[in-house]
Amino acid sequence: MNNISEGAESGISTDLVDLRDMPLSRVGSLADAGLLKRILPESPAKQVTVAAFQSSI
Amino acid sequence: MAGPAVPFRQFVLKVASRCDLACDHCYVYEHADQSWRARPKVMSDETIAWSASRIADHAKRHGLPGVTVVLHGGEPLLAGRHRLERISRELIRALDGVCALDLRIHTNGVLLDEAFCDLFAAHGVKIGISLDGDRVANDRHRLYADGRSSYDKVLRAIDLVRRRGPELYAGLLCTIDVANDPLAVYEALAALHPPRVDFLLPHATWDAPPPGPPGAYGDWLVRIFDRWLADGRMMKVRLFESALRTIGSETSLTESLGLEPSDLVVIETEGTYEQADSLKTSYDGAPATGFNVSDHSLDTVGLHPGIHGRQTGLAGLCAECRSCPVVSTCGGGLYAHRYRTGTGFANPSVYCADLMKLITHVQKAVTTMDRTAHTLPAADVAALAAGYGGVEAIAHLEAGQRSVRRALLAAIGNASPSMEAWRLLTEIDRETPAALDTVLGHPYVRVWAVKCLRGTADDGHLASIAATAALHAGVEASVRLPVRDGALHLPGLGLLRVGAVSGATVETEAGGFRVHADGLHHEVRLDEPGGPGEWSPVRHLSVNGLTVALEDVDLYRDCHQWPATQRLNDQEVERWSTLFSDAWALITRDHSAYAAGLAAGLRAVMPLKPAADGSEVSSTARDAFGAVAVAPPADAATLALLLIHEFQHVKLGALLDMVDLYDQDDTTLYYAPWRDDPRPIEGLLQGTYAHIAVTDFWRVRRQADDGPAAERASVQFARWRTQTAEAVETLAGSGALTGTGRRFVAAMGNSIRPWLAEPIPASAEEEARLAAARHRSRAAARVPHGA
Repeated sequence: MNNISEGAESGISTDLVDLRDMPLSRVGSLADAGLLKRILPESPAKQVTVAAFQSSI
Repeated sequence: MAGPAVPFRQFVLKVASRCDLACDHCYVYEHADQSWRARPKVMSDETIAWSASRIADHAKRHGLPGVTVVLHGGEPLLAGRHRLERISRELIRALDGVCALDLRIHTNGVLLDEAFCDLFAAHGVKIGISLDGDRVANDRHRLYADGRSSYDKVLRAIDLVRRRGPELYAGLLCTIDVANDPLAVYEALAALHPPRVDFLLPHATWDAPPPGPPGAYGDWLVRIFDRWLADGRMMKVRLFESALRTIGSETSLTESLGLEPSDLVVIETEGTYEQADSLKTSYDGAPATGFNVSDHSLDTVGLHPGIHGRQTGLAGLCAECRSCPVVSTCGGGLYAHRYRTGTGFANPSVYCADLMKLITHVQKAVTTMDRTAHTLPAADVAALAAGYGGVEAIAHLEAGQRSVRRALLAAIGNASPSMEAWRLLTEIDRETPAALDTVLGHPYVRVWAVKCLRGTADDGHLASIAATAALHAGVEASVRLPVRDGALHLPGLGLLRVGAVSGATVETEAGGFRVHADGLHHEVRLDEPGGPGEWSPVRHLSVNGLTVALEDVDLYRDCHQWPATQRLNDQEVERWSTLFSDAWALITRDHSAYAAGLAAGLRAVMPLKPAADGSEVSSTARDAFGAVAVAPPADAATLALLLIHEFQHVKLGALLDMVDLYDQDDTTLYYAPWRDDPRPIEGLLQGTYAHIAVTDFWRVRRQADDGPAAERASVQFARWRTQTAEAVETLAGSGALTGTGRRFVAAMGNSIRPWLAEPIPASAEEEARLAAARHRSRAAARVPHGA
């Protein structure tokens, strides 16, 4: 097994979504949830998430 | 059961039970529950003290890091300034040293004045205000009892709060009426620049359905959602963000969507505990628990079946909801909206058709977005695996880093109350994206972003990044920046000492900026290298077209294994400059296989404090792509080795951001010939990858140098070629590599294997063998598993 690209002649598809050309204002929940889990696997703090009171902001 | 399945973290204090408006859609006065009639008008000091004490005891008992307390009503300002001050003080006092307190008030705004704002600013109370949109929309319901409009007074209140900034301005709540023009409502709210907005479905049940045909509210919200997306999400809308987040398997930001358990309890003016007060719309007495603050702990309240029932997620929903394809986003909608006489809350929401319309529409918007993944060309991955990687390979790694940085920045920006900074960043991204790339490309920006998302740094640096991006773009902007350690920090540019103030306003323009802080004014021109005494610009190391930052001022640079130095003096900078020039000359002449990659990817050299024992010290940080931290080395050859060595870590770290090379769950520790402590699989992979370059360095040096230097190089080469090859075998046999990881490590082995056959003087071979044996013997007792 000598070739890193064995089975992938042109290249390796990564697990990273390409956000370079997405307007920053649209980056976020639309695209980065998986990416953030990849970069910050241990975050956010592992507390139980809860439903926030809707009658205040 | 000793208490609630989920401890309470949100406490709604009904500090006043009456209101000065007579909105006909109000759930407190106009719906099924009429318990307000028998309640005291304001919360007594005794109830305040009990409430604060119960909250503090509960936070202590459950080890909560923080709680949110909302001062609510009725109209909470009717409690008066003095009472609200006592409440704020009592809560702050009770929770001091126990946990963080997020204290808020939600008001209709008509009584709000400067004195109230002063009070809330003094106690860190954020203000949310109700407004249903433009004048026409707001006047439809939000009227005085005599029919007068509240609109002008509410607008005046919002203006007061806006002028105080995001420290005070929490946002706006808008109750939907489908008779209103949705875009006019949206535009009216957006014009007030709220940090956050939410659209609330008017409370209704199956017994008392909302006006309009099923789905009308969904259609109304979809029109705003589309406009909001088209506008670039320039205003945070809690309902839409929650829909997007839950579609992406993140948590909801509101109890009206999602399957998250409720952790909310209400304390009424007389001290009774109640469930969510939206239940007032269901039936008379629906929110009651029968418990009160003077007799019962919050753990006791948590045992109430109504509280417990809203903490069971999917299992707590009716069969129809459980089988619904959008249940993970909808969560059955707001609990109160499910009520029907006879079946109670075991029903879908009365807004089921509306929620279905909105959620499926948002889902479509998400799936139509371009979600292409980065691809790494095979030739570049092969070059990296061999231990090298030129301009193209580094460019692909840098491309991945750009996506990572944008995701991190957006995660912070979307959650930050500082809309001013986020808005500026998104504008610069739209108009001059290269300027934003420049500041985000500074290695320690990602370090801050990761710390911020982990909760170990605040989001104030977002404004510093925005101001720096504006400077790179050459645009005029005014941004309020935090002051840290007496200085304003502009990442990649420098720091300005402004003294002991908490913040300063920075006005940027082409080529420089002005600063106003507590009556002091500074002006900095970026093209004047020395600048005024207070300005400490980032200095650079330049040689033959290569320029990297000599980073000794960044606020987040001290993230390495070894401590950072303070600001270098001119003589120290001169020494670094000479060392770097000489090291670069050595690299380009003798180690050219590494030069192109370094030139393409090295952004900063960060000086470390020298080690106490005089040993050479260098480091990289996984989140600081492009930075190499080094203590002043003895000579240029040592600096060349450290740069080559550390940049291997930079490359592999960036690759690991894109591709899985090993099993993240592998917990085995492995012997590493360059460490006294056993290493996890990533540590061994990183070290082995770096030592391919180290071996290569000594391999070249033993030919290029003469005399004792060549002899030393031979020993080093002999030792590291053997031990690195052994480490490659350890990795290959670990069973912890992915398929790509196995091929990558095999290619690493292909680099080092031919070097094992190169002739070495016997004395060097023996000295290397003894050194390796001594290390293995020293480390053996500490290795639980290993090669």
